[in-house]
Amino acid sequence: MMVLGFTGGALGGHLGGWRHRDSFPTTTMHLQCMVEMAQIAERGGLDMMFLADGNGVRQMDKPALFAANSPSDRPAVFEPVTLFAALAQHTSRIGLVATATTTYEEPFSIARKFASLDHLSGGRAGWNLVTTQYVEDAKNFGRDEHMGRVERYVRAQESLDVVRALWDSWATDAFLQDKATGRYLDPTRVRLTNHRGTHFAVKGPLNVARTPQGQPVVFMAGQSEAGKELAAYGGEGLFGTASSKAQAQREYADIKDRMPKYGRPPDALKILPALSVFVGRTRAEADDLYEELQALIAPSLAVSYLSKLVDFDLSEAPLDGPMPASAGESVGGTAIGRSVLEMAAREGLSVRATYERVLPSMGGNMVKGDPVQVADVMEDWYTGKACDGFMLSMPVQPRSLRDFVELVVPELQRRGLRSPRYRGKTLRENMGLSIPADPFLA
Amino acid sequence: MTPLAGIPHPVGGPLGGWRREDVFVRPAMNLEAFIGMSRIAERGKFDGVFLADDNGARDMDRPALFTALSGRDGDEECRPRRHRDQPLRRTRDGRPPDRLKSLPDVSLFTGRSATEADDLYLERQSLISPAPGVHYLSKMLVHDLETLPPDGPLSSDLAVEREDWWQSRAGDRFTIMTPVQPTGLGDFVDLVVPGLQRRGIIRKEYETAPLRGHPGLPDAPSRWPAAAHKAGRGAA
Repeated sequence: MMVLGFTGGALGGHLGGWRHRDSFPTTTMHLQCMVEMAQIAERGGLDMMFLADGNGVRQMDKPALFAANSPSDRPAVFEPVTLFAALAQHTSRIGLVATATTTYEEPFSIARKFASLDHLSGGRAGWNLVTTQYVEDAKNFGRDEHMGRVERYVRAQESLDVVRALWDSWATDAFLQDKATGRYLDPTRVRLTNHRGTHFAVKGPLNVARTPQGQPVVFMAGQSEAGKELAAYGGEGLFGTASSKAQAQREYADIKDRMPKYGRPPDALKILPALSVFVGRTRAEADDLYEELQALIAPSLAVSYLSKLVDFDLSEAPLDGPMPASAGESVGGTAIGRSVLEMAAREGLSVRATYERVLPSMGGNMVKGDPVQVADVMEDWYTGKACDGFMLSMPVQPRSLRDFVELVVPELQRRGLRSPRYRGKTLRENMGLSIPADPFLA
Repeated sequence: MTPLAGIPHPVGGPLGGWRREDVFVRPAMNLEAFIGMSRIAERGKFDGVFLADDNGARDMDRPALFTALSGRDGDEECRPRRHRDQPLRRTRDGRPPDRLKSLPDVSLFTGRSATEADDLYLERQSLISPAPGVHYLSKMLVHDLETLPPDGPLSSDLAVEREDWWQSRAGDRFTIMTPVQPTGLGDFVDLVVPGLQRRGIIRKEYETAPLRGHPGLPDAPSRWPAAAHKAGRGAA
């Protein structure tokens, strides 16, 4: 079954989305916007709401972009785990995937808050493991420089191991709560983590009972060599950034081929490329939405956004001249940025042509058309082994999400690509992932 | 006005509370229990609910206590105890005295009559078997009592010190701890709160939504002049 999630920013996925007449009137620190999106998505049976996150305010050195508030910059947003604790009380089936960084957070705190969220949501929590790609975040955590990519990923793997060991602290049946005998818990059904590694020393146990889905689902988003390897090693969901089907197929095969050496079957990891969906009741309605949004972006803002995306200042480059070549893999450079540069080089695009291509989807892949056209593309990728599903980006919220649920989901269900209702109560069940075995019961 | 805070932990206050029949059947990781407790506290117009916390399992080296109590433990060190050095604090930081609210914790055994309260107290005592009880007392007194017979006397210097510790507590509000949850908190709200309301000691209705407003704390000052707010659309 095709897995479907959506990125839950209330600003929408398009740089001009929040200005469109069909967007939320205001979004900053509005819980109700988040509740409304989660409930619309749940009505459409989407598997998860996904929240990217960071620990720094971005683009303060790019005043035009800073003032326009691009959707991935998040100058004022809810902390995702506390937000999901609230959303869990307004929903009952949709998965809640929040981002936390292994570079600046301790594994004990990560293990604890996601285990807690899994209980609060009845088994719907997911942790999107990131190593943080934004350099400024380092300066909020006592460091002047961002940690290098290699070190970040070594640390991430160790953190992941520790988090999972902590999640295995207690047996499912450890908390007896037997009022007659006075035995609240069984002391033989807990074990210490006793980890001593390069970056962390953690004794354990975790002070949260084993969670409803055994362990929260671990997502990742890194597309670098180290990121792919870590996803093969321990990821269960992977946010992809491929900008073409062929690229997605290559990456899909590459990552899945790496899994057997870690003793993992390929279907233990769901690869979900980002997909921006411009859907209308007719093709013309979708085209109109697309044009309306493009018209909301001035060229200077577009160039500023593109500069940020490729981590390369394009403000002096002629709009109709060729895109400058890649400056190589930077410490903070992103997979999306590299993907955009590759696309521009491959197709010989100008700066203007590049941003016109990039803006609608913010660098990822996009599809535009009526429900049948959108479903055709999604089916083609899915059956062509380019993905296991999609992480949907909605240009204008809540309109785009509602349109997707009302127009595209029924079409996917007709084709048997999506189930008519949620398959289970936990995120794992809905994603088709197995429940990790309780080591105490093994 | 004497505001109140409650500790909505479903395992209940003192050791053994969770074993009563009217306590949540399985309090561990029970969100509904927390919601229920918080609603009762709100019915009693409490200022807030308070959760102690820590990041390690306590008492794994004391198996009897570890088995009997678990999650509820550890609060002893985390309760709002600042009232003890409050006079000192007030002079040290130079703030007006009413900017810092002290909330001494008080364990309440409430009944419709004194006899009912006594029964509750005795019943709860009977639910504590000697081994965890002695461990717990050892922890509270920071003194190893495990070598003493359970029915023998405590040394007098310890008793005097505890007496003084309790008597030094003074505050303008309380953190309510109830022995069995949720009935203890419910009894307090249903039996005690109306009387306190009649006497004008606690509020009958909330006056503000933000937590700051309940105990009468002023808004945190903004670093931005009012004009700056008018320029933008602002948050909700």
